[in-house]
Amino acid sequence: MSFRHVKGVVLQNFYVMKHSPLRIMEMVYWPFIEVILWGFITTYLEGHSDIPGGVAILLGAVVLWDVCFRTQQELAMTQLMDMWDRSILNLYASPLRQREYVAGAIVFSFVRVALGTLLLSVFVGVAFGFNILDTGAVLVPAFLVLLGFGWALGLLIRACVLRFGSNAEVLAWSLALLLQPVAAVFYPIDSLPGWLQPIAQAIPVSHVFEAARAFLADGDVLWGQLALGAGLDVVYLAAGAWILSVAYRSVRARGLLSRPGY
Amino acid sequence: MDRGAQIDVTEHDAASVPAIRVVDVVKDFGARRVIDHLSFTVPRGEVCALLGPNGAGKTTTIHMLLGLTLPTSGTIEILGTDVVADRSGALARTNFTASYVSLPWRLKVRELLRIFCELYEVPDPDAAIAEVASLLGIERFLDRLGQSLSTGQQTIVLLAKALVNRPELLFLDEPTASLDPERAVTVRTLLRRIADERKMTILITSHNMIEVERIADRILFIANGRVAADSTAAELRERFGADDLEEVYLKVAAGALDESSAEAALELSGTAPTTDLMGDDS
Repeated sequence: MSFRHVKGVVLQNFYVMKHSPLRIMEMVYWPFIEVILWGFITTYLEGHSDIPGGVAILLGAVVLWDVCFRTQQELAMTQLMDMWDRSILNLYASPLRQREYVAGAIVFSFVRVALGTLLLSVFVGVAFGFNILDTGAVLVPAFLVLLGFGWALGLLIRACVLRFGSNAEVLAWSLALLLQPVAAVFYPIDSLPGWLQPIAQAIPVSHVFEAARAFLADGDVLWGQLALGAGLDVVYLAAGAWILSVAYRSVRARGLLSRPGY
Repeated sequence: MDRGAQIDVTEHDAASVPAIRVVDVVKDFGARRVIDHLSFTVPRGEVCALLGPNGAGKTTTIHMLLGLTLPTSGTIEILGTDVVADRSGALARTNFTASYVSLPWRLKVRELLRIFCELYEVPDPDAAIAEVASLLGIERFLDRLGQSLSTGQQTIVLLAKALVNRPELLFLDEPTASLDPERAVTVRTLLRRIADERKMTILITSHNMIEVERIADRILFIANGRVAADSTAAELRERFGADDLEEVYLKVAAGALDESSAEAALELSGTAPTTDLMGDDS
């Protein structure tokens, strides 16, 4: 792994963002819209619900879920931007290794997601009086597990984009959203139909949200749930990396890498 | 760099290691054989043109040399390093540009060059950018976005990207295809001068026979994924009884090899010429 190769990818993404006002705006636009929507819903529900810590649970879920969603999207978008520019061949024809290309995207996406989450947390605190730090000891491990699963999904999407070209770009917008209903973001796993619960159990972020809910409701830190989420993350990250390496080899064998926008 | 990928040579012998060594390479796309037991060597410091009709396998060959496409079988070494075993190590002292690669729209020229200085690990990026900008006369474009440049200007900037790391081996796939004749002549002259001054090896593909004749020390005709002829422009003209290289090209591409010229080609290349020289253009 060459530090300068990774730096080159980070620089590229930074420069592209600098010249794309939409890339800067999207860091905050959709998350803010979502928080405003859920903020008003929870404010309304506050007077009509006896769920302990109801407002905190819902708003905390929105902020934390955004970490996972944005991470997978950022990782996919950095590759899609190169494909849309039709300049990706320059990168692949250089000494840049696939793992360095991904590492650069991960570093860049981490900075963007961390910055976005910070802004969102401040906004939620000011507008709706929810302090993300109320999630206490759960916050950091939860953030890391969500980040890890976002990376795993991002690797999978990058593999699909690599193999199927820009036809697969829809996944960048939809894959995490497809999982959201069964990821126990806003409700506990046991509220899902029985046949969906094993699927929810297999998703790392489900365990994060179970732990966050338990802490906000009772102050209990469910370390076992967080550890399970982290363990599942490792499995999915390894699977994502393997699928990406298989896709990379496959497109080189098929000569697809050299077809712009294939 | 992967162990075992570097060919075992001492520094003293390094200069004798060819820039490109292709040995018995086959590339199949499904049932279709695009490269058929291709073998050739390009010594260091040589400007070699890869010619052939559309679909002959020129671009596939260049993409295999760059590790973008994997060969089905055979060996490819770049500056003594196996490109399949260690693509990154093999490409460290090379660079590439092609008519079908776009300049990123959302990057300034200076930013693009800076990124590739990092990817090629250029020791002093600012000095390298200044040098290549002066070489190609693009100083006034350095702070302009790619999207604001004309097609010809973008081609020149991509050529600057290809020269920014002072490559020992340069791959050019139709580099002047989008340039007006005046600029194309300037670029050709410049490339030839740089190749001579820096002992840089160039592998170039082009459909512009005048360009090839002026820039190349040697010509490799590829047809149906095999070497159909391998010689200098002057020798090819003589062997094929042609006035210029374009006529040679047309004879080869149209499958105009009669028995005697086929023997001539065989003699020149050491490889049996093919009869269906148009190849599959699909």
